[in-house]
Amino acid sequence: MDTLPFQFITLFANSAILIFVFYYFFKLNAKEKELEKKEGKVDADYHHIVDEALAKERKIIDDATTEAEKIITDTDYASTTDKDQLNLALNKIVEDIKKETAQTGHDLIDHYASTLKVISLHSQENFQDVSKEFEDSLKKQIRDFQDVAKTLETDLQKQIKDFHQSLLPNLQKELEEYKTERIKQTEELVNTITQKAAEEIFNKSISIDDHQKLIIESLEKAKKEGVFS
Amino acid sequence: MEGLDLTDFFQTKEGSLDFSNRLATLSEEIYKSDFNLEKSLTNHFGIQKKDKFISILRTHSVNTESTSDLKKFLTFAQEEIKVFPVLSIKLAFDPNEKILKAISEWFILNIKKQVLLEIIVDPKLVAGCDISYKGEFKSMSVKPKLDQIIKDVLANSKNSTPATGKNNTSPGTNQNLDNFSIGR
Repeated sequence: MDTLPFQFITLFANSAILIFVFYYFFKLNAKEKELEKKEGKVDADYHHIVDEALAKERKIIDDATTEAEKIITDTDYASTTDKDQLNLALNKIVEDIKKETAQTGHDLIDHYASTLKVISLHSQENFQDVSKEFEDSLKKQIRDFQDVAKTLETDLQKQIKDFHQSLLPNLQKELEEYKTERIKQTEELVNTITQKAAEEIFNKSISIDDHQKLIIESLEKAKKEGVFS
Repeated sequence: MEGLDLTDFFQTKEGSLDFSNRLATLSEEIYKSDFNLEKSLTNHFGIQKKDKFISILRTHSVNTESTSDLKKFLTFAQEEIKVFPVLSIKLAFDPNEKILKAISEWFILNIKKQVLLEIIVDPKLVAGCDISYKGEFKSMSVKPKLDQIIKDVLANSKNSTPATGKNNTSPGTNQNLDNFSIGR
């Protein structure tokens, strides 16, 4: 009996939960239907907008194509005109340049020829100057050489003259003195050799008996001269 | 006592010193108990000279049996030798014994006394001798005469030699300055 209230409460609670679930499903179904409805409307709006946009696009392209064709047509015309004018201008410029170049070249050749002529004249003058200078220098050197040769000849003649006047007599005198001295030396040498030779020859050619005889004779002579008295 | 002639024993000054030393030795020996004069003389001077010495002793009347006489004579001889005059003689050759003796004997014979010879050998003398006696010198050699002869001969040969011409050294025409030039 004690669980009855609890059972009632549980039963009530379960009934409340069931009711809430049924209510929630009902609401959910209603919202789903509403959404489907809204989706259908949005889809229709989308297709409508897309169709309009496509139509506008086609129109714009057509307009652009028309405009472009017109521009191209205009442009072709302008291009042809400009091209002709440009060709003419360019031809004119080329002609001008040719003329200018020819003139410049002619002027340059004239200038070059005149300059070359001037240089040639100048070089010729310089060469003549150098030749003259060289000739003068050579003449001067020849003159100097002749002077030196003349001086050398004079000096040499003077030296030879001096040699004959002063050196040669002295040389002859010295030679004579040397000759005398050598003769003297030779004579002395001959004397010495002769003396030695004579001494040795006499000494060896005298016998012992003769030596003894000569000694005794010497003593006799000394006695007579009173050496032993 | 008479003058001694010892030329048989020595002629030179060196010989006299040697002889004098032998006499001194002999003087010492005569006092020995076994002294024998002949034996000692033979020992000192040889057989030949021993006889000559005995002969001198006899000449001077020396009693050989008397030691004192012998001693007296030996002393006398030594004293005599000391006073022998010295003759310095220069010879051209180295003299042998015979020549020395001949010189010594010449002095004994001619001046009656023995001299002590002082020999100097000089081959330059050629022959003869130079003598120096009691401070007096005498050149008796052939050298001065030979020198004079050589000198005369050389002088004669020099004078006969043709003289060398000095004019040969004078410059010839090729050295004459007038003929001289350089180049050109």
